[in-house]
Amino acid sequence: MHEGKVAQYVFDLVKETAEEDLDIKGKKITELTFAMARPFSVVPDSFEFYFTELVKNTDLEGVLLHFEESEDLEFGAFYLSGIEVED
Amino acid sequence: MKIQVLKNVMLKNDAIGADNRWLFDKKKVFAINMTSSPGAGKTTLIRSSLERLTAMYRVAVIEGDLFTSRDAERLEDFSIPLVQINTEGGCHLDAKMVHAAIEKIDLDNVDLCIVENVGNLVCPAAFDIGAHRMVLLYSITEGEDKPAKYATMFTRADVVIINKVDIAPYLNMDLDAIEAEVRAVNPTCRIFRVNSLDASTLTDWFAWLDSEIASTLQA
Repeated sequence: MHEGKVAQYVFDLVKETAEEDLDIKGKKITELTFAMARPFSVVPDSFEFYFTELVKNTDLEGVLLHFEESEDLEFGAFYLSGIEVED
Repeated sequence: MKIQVLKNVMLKNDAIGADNRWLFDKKKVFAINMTSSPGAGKTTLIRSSLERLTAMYRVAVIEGDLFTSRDAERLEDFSIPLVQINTEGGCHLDAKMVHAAIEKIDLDNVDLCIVENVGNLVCPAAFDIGAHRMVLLYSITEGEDKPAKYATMFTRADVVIINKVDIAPYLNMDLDAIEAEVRAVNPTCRIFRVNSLDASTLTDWFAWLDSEIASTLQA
């Protein structure tokens, strides 16, 4: 139920990262990958629902989301781990 | 082209939470995040605790609630700094909300700040609000399986207070079995058994608070 707020955090984080990273800046972002550790603090389906609504009519509309389980991150962590951009 | 990054999505919240904790530390205020499912008895425990704590310490309470101020109204007769947060449907408090509430309190004149989170056994676990300790109140009427079902909350808790133990015989509940369920997901947390309406059962809870407040003041 808190995934709506997490979606806003991700939106802000992606925009900030895109501004800072010259490999991303100005390019079309097509996919985002997330690393998450058990016990999961975010439900992927719920997050995707909110995120899809949030990015409508923005540069991120249509971006694909991938979720990967990580055993290296701390308990319950949810990280943005990859940004795919058009070449 | 895929760009590898590794950024904590919760960083924005966690950074404000860290700011809140820094402020509490600077002002020598011990802060607790009081969590539970709805109806477990958070406000009742706070009320019972305030009867003793306000004689010894300068206490402030931040009340989190979706829409109402009913919990805060139950504490008004203590004449303490009391700030209401309404989340307008939000299922948890976050660090930014708590920061805004802290700004309304004169922390120079507070020893203990109790933040009563929204009643919810899921979402509050994901949001560091900047308290020093997370206290989870667990009513035995919820059944003994909740630690396993809501492992994130129970694992994050520093203290689990098993409440309403006085009615265990009427519910055929085994308190040792409940405590074992808590220990299975969190072997190191403190566990207290209380009936929050009976001050004589709160002795260990008060002793823990006394110790934590003393440590904060001496830091």
